[in-house]
Amino acid sequence: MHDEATSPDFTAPGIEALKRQLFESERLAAIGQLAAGVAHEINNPVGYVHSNLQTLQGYVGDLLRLLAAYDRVVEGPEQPDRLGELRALRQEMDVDFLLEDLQQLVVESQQGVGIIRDISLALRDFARSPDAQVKPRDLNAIAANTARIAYNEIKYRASMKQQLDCLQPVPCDASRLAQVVLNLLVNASHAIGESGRIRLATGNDDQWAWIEVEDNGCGMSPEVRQRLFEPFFTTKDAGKGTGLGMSLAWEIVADHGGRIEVHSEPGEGTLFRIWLPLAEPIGTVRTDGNGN
Amino acid sequence: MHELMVVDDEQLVLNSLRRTVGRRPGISLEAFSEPEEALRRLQVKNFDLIISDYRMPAMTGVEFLAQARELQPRSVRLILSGYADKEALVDAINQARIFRFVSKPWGEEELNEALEAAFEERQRILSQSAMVNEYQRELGSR
Repeated sequence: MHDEATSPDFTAPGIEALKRQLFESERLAAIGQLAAGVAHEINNPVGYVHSNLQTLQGYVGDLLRLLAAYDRVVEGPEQPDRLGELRALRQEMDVDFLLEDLQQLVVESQQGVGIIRDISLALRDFARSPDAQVKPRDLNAIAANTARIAYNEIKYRASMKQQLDCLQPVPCDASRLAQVVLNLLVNASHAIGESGRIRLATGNDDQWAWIEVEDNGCGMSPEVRQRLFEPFFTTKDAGKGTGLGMSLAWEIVADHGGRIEVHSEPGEGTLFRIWLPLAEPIGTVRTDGNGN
Repeated sequence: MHELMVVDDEQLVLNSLRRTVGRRPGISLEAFSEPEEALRRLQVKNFDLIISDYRMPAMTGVEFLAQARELQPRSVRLILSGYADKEALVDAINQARIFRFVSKPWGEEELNEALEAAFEERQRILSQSAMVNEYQRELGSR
């Protein structure tokens, strides 16, 4: 019965509908877990872009006022004291500062909107319907987008290194695979206490592609490693994890015709390697009803 | 002149606050992207208001403001943050004794209202401690 202890058993008849519900609720839970962090990361740029636009409104108002004053000088009868008025107005507005800061303000606001755009694009992989078809996809992009989403959870504890070198498109369901990678990244971040390192890598050979998530966190005891992929097994406090993340990760990778490899030393860290076949798996990708 | 300190690990947030709050007459604003540096500054200069982000890499806003409070107990402390779980809020109130929690993204009016109220609070604290001092002097002279 050793095998059943290490891999989830989803083969009983009629369980397909339940399994789908589990996938969906776990997917939403994973997104929910990160929502606060992602919101924080978006709230910063929204905050300063919003504030900058208000400042910009003030700057533009000043400049229009100045321009109107110029126009009065240019179009009106020649009066030397008008020049003095213009100079006074320029000084009052601190036009030199304003013109310099105006450009900086626009650059910074563009940067802020760029951040919001990146996050929104990265979220698309998760928001995509879980029933999306298996298509050849860029594994590096999936890994990078997922890292972008998990970044807010990670950046306060760990530095992250990415080595994304997969040169072949990989047939996969991007949304579900992103969920697996997200799970591994969040787990890695939780395994790290105060500060540590996480490495995210991809690569391929002739027949297989892989994604690696490695941390130098607390590692797993042999007992935990043994039960890692069991449904509802969790080492987290009650209410912090469903205990479904890793068992569903196993399931998702198996559906792709792949497997998950684990290396872990207590106190040293953990390495997860997801193997995915480059050739589209035949009959192994989730199809409705006909089971295994 | 009101002395105001802002701490946020996001430089662009600091820049936007410099443009708005920092350019208001009667306010002198110093901005820090690293809480440690801000703490060193607090050892040599008094501030009326101290505003901090909550989530920062080196220490949380609560940790920073709690230390700031030890250095300058009569300062008025605020948090400006887009991240607020219940735990953070409870710590902010109990440990850092913050006066206001302003959410990101902030609105100009909301922030101004908070700053006005905070300056009033600072005034109240100062006059209160002036009264206490005077009272103590009176007691001592008897």
